[in-house]
Amino acid sequence: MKLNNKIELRIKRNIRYTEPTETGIYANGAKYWVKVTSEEEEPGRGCVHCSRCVQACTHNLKNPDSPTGVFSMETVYYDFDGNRVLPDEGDKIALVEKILWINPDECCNCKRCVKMCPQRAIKVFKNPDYHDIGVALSNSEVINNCLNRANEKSTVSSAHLGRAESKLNTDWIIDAAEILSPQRDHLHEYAGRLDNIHLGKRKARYLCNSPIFDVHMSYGSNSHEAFLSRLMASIKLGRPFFTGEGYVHPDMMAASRHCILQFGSGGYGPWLELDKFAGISMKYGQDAKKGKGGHLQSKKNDLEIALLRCVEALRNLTAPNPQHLQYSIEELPMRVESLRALLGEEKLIGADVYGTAWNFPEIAVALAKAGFDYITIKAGDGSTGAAHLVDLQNRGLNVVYLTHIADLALRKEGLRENISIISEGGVLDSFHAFLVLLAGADFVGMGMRTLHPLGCTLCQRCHTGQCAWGITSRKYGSRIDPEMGSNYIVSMVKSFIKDMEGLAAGLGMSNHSDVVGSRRFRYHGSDPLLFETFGKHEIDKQIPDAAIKERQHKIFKTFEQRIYENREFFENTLKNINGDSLTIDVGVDKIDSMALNLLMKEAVKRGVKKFFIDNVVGQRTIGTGVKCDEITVRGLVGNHSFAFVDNVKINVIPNHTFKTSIPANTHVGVANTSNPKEINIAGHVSDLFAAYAVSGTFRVAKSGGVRNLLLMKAGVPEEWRKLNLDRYQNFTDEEILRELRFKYQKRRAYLDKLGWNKFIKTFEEKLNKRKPPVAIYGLGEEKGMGDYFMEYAQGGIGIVLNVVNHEYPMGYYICSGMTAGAAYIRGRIREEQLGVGVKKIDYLTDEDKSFLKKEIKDFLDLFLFIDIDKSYNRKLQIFAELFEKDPEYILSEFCKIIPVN
Amino acid sequence: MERLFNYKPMDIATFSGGVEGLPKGACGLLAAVGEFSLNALLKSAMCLQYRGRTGAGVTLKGIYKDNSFYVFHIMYRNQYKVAELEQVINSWGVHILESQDLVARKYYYEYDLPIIKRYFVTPPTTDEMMYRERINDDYQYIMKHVSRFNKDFMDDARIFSSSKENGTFLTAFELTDTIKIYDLPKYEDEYYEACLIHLRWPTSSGRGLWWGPQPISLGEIAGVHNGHLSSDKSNAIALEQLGINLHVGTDSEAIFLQTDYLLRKGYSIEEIEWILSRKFPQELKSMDKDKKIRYEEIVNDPILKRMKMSGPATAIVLVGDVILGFTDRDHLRSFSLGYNDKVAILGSEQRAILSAAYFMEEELESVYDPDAGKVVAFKVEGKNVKKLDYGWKWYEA
Repeated sequence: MKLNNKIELRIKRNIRYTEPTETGIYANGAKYWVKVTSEEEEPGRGCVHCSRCVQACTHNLKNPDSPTGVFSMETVYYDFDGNRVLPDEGDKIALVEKILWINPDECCNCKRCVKMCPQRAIKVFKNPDYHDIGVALSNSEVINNCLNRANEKSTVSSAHLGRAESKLNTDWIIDAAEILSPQRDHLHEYAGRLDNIHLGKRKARYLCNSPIFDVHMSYGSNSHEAFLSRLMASIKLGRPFFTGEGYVHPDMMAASRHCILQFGSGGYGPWLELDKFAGISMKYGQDAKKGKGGHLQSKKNDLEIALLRCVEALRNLTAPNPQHLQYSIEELPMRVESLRALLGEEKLIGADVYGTAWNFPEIAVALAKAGFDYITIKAGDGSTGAAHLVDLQNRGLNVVYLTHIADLALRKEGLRENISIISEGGVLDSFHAFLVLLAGADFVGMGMRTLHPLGCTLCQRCHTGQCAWGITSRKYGSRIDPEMGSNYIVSMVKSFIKDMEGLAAGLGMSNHSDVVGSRRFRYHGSDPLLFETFGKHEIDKQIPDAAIKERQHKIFKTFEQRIYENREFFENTLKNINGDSLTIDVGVDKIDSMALNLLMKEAVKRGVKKFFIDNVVGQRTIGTGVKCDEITVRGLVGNHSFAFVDNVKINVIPNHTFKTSIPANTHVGVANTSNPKEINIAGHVSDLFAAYAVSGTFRVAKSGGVRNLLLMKAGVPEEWRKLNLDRYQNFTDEEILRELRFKYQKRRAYLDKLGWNKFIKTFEEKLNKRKPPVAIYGLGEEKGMGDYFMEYAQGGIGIVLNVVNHEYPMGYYICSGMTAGAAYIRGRIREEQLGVGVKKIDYLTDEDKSFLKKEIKDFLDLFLFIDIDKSYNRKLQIFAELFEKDPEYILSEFCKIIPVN
Repeated sequence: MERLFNYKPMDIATFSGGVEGLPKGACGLLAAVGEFSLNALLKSAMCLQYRGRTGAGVTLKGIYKDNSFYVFHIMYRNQYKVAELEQVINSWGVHILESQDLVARKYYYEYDLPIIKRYFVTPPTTDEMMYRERINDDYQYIMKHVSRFNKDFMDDARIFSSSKENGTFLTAFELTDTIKIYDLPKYEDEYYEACLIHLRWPTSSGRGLWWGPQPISLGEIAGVHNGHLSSDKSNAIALEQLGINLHVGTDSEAIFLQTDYLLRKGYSIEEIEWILSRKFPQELKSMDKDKKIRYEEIVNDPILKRMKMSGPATAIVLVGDVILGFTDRDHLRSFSLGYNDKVAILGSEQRAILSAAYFMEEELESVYDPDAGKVVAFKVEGKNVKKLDYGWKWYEA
């Protein structure tokens, strides 16, 4: 633009609203209205057209790909006569008009623009068009709810609904010590101290210096930077970091020993390097969406997230509602046993549950009896990254009351000092946090509070991935500086703790255990459950006849005790180590599951790489946590065997040497969450075989039960195999923080160079390089494949050969909820047998065919030489001959099932 | 004005047995072990009466030593239930050899007293105990029943002494009244090897004044305590999770039972000190490495962690032949000690200790206030008293 010096250039500033696009009953605009004051209106505080608000605002629901949100800036050029000219017609330009366009219909009140405006010229307030309708009974919330649904708007929201004020805010009497036992002065003496606390009360313990915890929020729901800020804050505060169900980014693995992974019902992640973590939390529930699984919107499931979660990118990630490996209370101990075998007894195993209305005491007790190290009680008033409004609107039970009844129930069962309680949900400040401790929790979680220092203003747009503060939007994450962000979180938490220590000192208390469960404050409000907790009368000091023998229950036996009890068997077996192999004769019942697992680990310590385990009849957890190359089992494999195995070749073969022939079958949950080289089972498998499996080859000679290959993943990214985590083992916290900063700086430099879109594209190659897991079933004559085959599968491939030629080989709901991957099935399928969201294709591509040929050949090479049973052997022989003779004919009988987008 | 003229001070009779409005304050403690004069000790304890108001008690160790019966002192608040409750005791399978009135009849005219009786009781046979409760030790068996009795019949009766050798004497009045009602001077020339005296100013809300007086005694445990623990709930939960029930329910009882538990579990005196009184974090820095490891191990045990005393406390606890005295780490209550090779005297104030020595005509080797949070312990056997060192453990002795 060239300017003619002779012409005096005038500049005009304008602030204008975009024209609304619709009229009629649905035209009410957004909840909030935006006003920008001009210099004339508020001299000194008027808009200077600096465009900071344009950069700040990221919200645009109607047009998500637009580079602008509420604000956009336009510059218009005019000549002397007032005609518009182009900017490069410099000599004609006499007037430059700068227009700030405002589209308030997109505003969500996140206040980023307000806080970034150097003039404080922006005001955001409630939009009367939206709010001033209706009557007290049927107010704008009710009416707009109906209008939004009628207009087919999304019913998903996020964060915290906050329809009413917290019940914990009013009607309390803060008790304090006085003359009976004087208040203490926590500023100058040892009083009220809430540090030096252990999470976990048995062998697995994590030393904490803060009674306030962060909560599980996943990598993915949070941006890289928000997640990193929270992680660094937790390390600085001396508390564990809860990762949520999105695993931990490889860049952050230096801090793994501070991280507690969450196993959500989606089971996302590579499930490798598990011994490097502080523990695993089982997510049985989340308070903000009770009874619902996690939900990551497709727009937030970008290439990098998909790589980390080992799933397909850009698909909605809906985790199933139940945790399929534990359908009931009696299956909890089995799960704990499996995790204990995986992690050892020094690592924490937790259960995250929401407070149910009627049977919560029983649930808390059941979890304690199952052997969990801690329970996280997720009470009402919690938040989430995405949930349907109807879930969010349900506040649930109060955190204080739930903690109270769980504490009493555990005390009654004599297990309170066996298990830690973390309580969270609707804890807004230090006073609430203290109430929760008084009601009986060891720790209190504050999730949303941790996000406020990073900028969260509860605009409820987490699910859109457009968070302007960069907390829940990956793209804008770099608006947060992890170092500064973590420091702000630390300062906030420390200040809260100081408050709580003051309250404890005021009660004359000196440490954490004095506070926990002492129920000293009084409630005199109208909430019946809070009144029950703190109001009615002083709670009796002791519960009569606590069941103290429960603590001695065999489920709590230490490894040492188990080894001691089986010392003879151990000695006799370990004598037989031959080079790197060992034969263990289980002799049907000579040794129990956990002891067998420990025996295998002991053998590995002595150099064993190959196991032959004979005469197995239903022993559980075989191979879990055992670092070896090969396991061959002769017999019937028990529940949860081969779970979490990594890089192992496993064979299960039948035993015909006895009067009673033992088939090579398996129980429930075998090979779940595994990364084996291959697992070959010369018999039937039961329910949930290879559920959550991430990579590897799974071959089953006969059929599978219900929900086989549930949530099968899309393969492990190579970089997980290249990580060298051993060097972090002896890092101090300071060194870990330095490593995190260093890794982030590298990432940031790369990101700044490429820009977000190109940066995220770089993961495409890694995604495509993954080798998805493959499972191939022969099917037995006795039965076909169970229902829900490959439910929610996320990239794995399932093949059903149907060597025995069932006419309808499959059950119902085939591949229901599948997001990626495929199933190849030989035989007929009725349309109604198909699950939701998939379609059947009756022809195969050449690529499909060559893939199938190879897999079938491998299958036959393996099982043709195993004596399974006479009838099956014969059928397999016939199938093999047919395949040899005319593979195309066999392949023509296959159909393919794939997800529909 | 009218109300003021009609005002009559509430007499102790009206007041005793009330459940609310207990006066708050502190208590006086005095104890002696070894060879000493009971009367001299009682006389010297009078100087602590200003610390007490309603309730006083005395435990004499060794007065029932010459037989192997359990001796129960029982107060019945409900005079119509005596026969019924005696029947309850019979139903445990024990045999009541003899029952006596413990208090002369004339005092019932003078004071508002519950019925106070003394029973000599023999336990059932081992077979019978195994059959009834799966307990093969008569001490455990009797303790379990006494504790349960006191809880179940809290409003009607209390077994306030249940030892094989100790006798505890309680009233809701002052020490002089207690001495008079039980005629304690008559024991002066009898055998005894330890004595605990408590002058109470109640702090715990409880079930009436007759429930709070100390020493609180259960079996061979007796203790006196001065203060109100902020950790009372935490301490009670620790015991609850060990299956040890409070039968009186006060914060004091919890630390006596804790001390008993810890001694019998084989913790050394020093370890008991760590558990009850906890060190400042600053102290840990200069602690010997091995000791620190042991310290961390002990104080981080989830149950032992809950046994810490917070808030003001001086306590003197008699468990079997061992007497322990201690304060909280912040030293919010005074505690003094004086001893020679014949006798050890522990108490709230040096004044009481020195006057006791004076009345006994004893020369004490050492009189001092132990450091804050330190446990001092003595063992008495046949009137021979020995100061126990830090490493002493119950089972090694």
